[in-house]
Amino acid sequence: MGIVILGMNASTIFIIAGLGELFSQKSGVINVGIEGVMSIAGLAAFIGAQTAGNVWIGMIVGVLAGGLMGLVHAFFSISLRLSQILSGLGIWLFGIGFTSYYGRTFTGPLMAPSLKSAFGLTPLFFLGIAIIFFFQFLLQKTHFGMKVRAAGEVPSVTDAWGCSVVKIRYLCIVVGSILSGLSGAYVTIIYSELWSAGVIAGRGWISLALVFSSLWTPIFLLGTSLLMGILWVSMFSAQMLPGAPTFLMQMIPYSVAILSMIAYSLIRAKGKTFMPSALGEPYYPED
Amino acid sequence: MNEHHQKNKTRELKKGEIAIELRGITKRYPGGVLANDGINLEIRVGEIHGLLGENGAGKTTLMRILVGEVRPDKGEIYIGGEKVDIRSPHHARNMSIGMVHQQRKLIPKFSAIENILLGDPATSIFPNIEKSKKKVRELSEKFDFNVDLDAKLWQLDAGEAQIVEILKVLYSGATIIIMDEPTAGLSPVQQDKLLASLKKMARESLAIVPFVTHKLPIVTEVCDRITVLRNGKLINTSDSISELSKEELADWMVGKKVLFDLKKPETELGPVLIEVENLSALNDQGEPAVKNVSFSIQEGEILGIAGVAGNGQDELAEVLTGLRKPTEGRIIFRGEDITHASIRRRRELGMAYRSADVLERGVIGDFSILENFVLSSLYTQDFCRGMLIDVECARGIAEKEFTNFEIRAPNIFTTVKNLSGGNLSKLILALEFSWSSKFLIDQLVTQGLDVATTEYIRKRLFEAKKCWKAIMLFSKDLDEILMMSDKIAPIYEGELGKPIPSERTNKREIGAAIIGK
Amino acid sequence: MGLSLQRRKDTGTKTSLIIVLIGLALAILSFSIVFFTARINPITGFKEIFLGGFGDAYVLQQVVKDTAPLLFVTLAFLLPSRAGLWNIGAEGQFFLGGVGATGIALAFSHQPSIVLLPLMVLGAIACAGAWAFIAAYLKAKININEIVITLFLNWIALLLVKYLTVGGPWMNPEGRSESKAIPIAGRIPIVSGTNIPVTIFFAIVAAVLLYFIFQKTRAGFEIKAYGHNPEAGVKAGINAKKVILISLTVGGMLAGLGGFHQSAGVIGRLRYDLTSGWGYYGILFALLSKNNPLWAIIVTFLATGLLVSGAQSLQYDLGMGSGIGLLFVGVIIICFVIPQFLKEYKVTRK
Repeated sequence: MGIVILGMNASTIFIIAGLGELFSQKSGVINVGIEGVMSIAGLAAFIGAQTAGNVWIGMIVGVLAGGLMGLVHAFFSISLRLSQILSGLGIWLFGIGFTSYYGRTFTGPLMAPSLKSAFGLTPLFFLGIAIIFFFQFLLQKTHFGMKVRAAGEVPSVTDAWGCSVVKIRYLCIVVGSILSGLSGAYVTIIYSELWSAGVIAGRGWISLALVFSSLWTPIFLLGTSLLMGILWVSMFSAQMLPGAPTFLMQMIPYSVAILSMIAYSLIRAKGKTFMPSALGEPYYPED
Repeated sequence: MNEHHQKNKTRELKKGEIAIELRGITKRYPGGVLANDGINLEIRVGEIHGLLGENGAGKTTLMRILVGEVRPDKGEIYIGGEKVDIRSPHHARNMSIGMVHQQRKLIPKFSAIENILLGDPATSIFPNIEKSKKKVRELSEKFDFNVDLDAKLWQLDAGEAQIVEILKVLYSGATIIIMDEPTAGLSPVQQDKLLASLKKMARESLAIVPFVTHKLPIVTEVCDRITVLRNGKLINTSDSISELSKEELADWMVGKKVLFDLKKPETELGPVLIEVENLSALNDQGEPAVKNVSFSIQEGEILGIAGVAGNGQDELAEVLTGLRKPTEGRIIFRGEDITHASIRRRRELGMAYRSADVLERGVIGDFSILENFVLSSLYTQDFCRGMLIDVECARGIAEKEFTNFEIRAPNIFTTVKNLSGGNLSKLILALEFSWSSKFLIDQLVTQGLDVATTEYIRKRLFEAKKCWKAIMLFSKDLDEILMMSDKIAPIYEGELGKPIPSERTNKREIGAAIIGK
Repeated sequence: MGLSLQRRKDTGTKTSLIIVLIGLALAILSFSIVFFTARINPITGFKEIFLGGFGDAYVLQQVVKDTAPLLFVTLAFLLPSRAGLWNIGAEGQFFLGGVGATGIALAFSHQPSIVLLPLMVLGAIACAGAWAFIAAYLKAKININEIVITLFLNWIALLLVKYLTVGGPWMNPEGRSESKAIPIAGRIPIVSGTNIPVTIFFAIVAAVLLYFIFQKTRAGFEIKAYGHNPEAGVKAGINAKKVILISLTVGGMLAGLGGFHQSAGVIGRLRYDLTSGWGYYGILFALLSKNNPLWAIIVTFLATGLLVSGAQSLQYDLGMGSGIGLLFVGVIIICFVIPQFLKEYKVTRK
């Protein structure tokens, strides 16, 4: 039972970051730099929390950092019409470099009081559940959600009927990055309560993979995140057992992430497309 | 704001009053082209006012001005008697001007009702789908439109998709409806239904402006008045449609007698080059698109496949060229069973293909003309021996064809995406003609091209025929097909009729066959 | 705001030059900011970078030595990139090359060089190629997103190396976190008078070969054409699966040769710090070389000098923290990415 609680805490990382990426992708923009966003936001949050001695301050700083990175990605991929992949990779590599250099003096545990949890379950988990349902409702039942989906399907048509694709995408990217930032902050100041260069450990990339394998549906993302969260903690606790092949076990989450992508691709091969049709394609409003 | 205030203006007008008046509309594009030259036009409430003109006559520009995509340099626009400045499509919509586009502006994955509601300013934050569907159904019944509102757009055919766009425009309260080539892509039955609905719409005090290039039947059947544009100028507005003859109209549009007298050469036919037996295939949605098709073509023969778009022609061409797998049947090309052969093998054997989606599949825009020649001959041994590419040889061939086809561009190193539309079409033809192909499948024939290029392409096709190539043409232009083909076969819903020699049939017969007898 | 973008017809050489200059300017500006935050005079900083890379014969030798593996990973990204594929997995493929080479060396440790070395090369190529093939096959068969797959494989590769060397089957009996030593017969011979393994020539030859393949061969044309417009390529008869499989797998093999160099030529054994991010440096270098293999040779050499050696000397001589190299790589990528929009657009006043 303890494993499940721990798993739910871990899944919060994927829920929040994944949802952020999902929302951005629904509008047609992919951010492969989500790992970098989480790193930068995580460091910012850590520094904020450490300096102020308060986790809430840290979270605000992290969220702002996430939003800032979102603005950067939006500016590159929408206003400058650059390749979304290139912009994302740039943000990721910049994130790795920036945080490994500027974070080195902060390496270590967090010196600030922890956030209280309910029965060991972090309150952010409940926030995660809430926003899952919020986005599910937003995307399917509101006019705005329809516009977001339309922007991700055929942006030229969406613009033709008066819904500014540029505005919609900017909004979705920034909101998405804010969520990714929140997730990164969660990792450093609540979940692990430490900073080190590799603290995100690929969980941003895993969140990206989960968006694909949950077929861009928030409810499904909840399921896949929970599974991944439980997997993640099980693997870590299993490592404590004597004779456990630690490194081989650590491969499991990444292997499962690969398998989930394979599963998604197989579903798609059957002809069912759930991916937003315009995902990743640059949009040129002047054409 | 002002815009909302004017929304109700046109609704108060009665039949016969002027809905839109254009005075002295002039527009010159940055390149210097004078697209509209002092156009004066009146559109009355309750009339169907046809706007005719060839490509480049200025219809598109005028249309774009009316819907707010383009601002005129000079001139005034009056709606319901009040002077307005249409600043954007959004603004136009607020003034009850709606546009139904030739290339449907709809989202395939959305349902019909979702498409109708998308972007509609009156739709609330939490749209009530059922209520909206009811309103749409009322509109549909009023004008005899029949479409399943819950169906996804990709499931609907061209006619139904257009209805969705019309409903979208009506739902948002448009009273002036501009339609771009409304009968394009529709079967004759769908056309009749549409025209009947348009007449009903006009009776409901709507003003309808269909823009047409040369579908003269729609003009005589349905328009109350027509205006003809040529070279940016308004040539004539006529009230007495029925008294106009086809020649007169064509005269107005083109300014001279159109030549239709290219003679098809008499060639002796060689042995059978390609034989197709009981070929069937599914489309992208998994539905049968090609049903049990059989035919054969001899060397030097032109087989014309007549049919309205969407009856399986694309899928048939794709199966023949290897872009799509058949579910059953056989294709024998030059004695070899190529039913499951690779695309490369088919090209090695001499199969060439000029497809409909030019820029996507026909050429690589970022490559130069020379590189595109290399691409089309990659496996046909004209200048690729073994592993290496003989650049000198490639250059020679590219230069030769460049001159032959009179492609207007600086040289063979020009990047293809910088070519104009007409030259691009010539290049595509050159690419598929330049190598020693034996069989050409041609989907474009002469769609949307100016007269000179069209003549040239037909001339080259006839020359190919004389060289004992076998040619398979796809077209929905019955005059063209009759003129070009030795044998004609109609295609309807994936089924191919028996090929008949073109002398032994006529337009009426084929026309009937392509809509299903 | 008053500014807008307008589509450009052709990118002249003047524009290309401006793009490079803007990127350079942004980079210099950003580096200066970094120096400021470390309370270092930017001029001193830049001088140190340059001297650290090209200041004397010793560092120059280091740079040439490091150019080999870095050129390999650059080509590893470059080749699939021409086919429109993103090989983010050079880091992992590098490791697998080291695994293959070390494995062969340990298994056949009593063989003479003449037998052992070629076998090790084959081992490196086979392992790295197989690693890349996983992603290549999945891409070709079910069109999986190769970015995500190659990336996860990087992590798994690192864990594999850790498994083998830290308390694992190949561990050095003296108990350190590294593998047993590669026997002398398995060490790559060095160019006489230097400490540079001859693999540097392999790397340069590979780059030249790649250039030739793209310019003159049908296979190279197929890759380029497919990369520019997959649909037109397929219609012309190009076999998409073949292009994907070959470009990604060979790319992986090239990265594997880098691993071979580093394990058998430099360190002398397999360690989990065989590479600490060089695979990602390769992405930057390939982008900077505009995907041209010949340019890649020069760019890699210069960039290695500045960003690898130069950065190291910033650490040791000026006391800047570790990770400075990685930071610079990240910064340069952003600075490089930004002006790219000028290729397609020009800025006009609205």
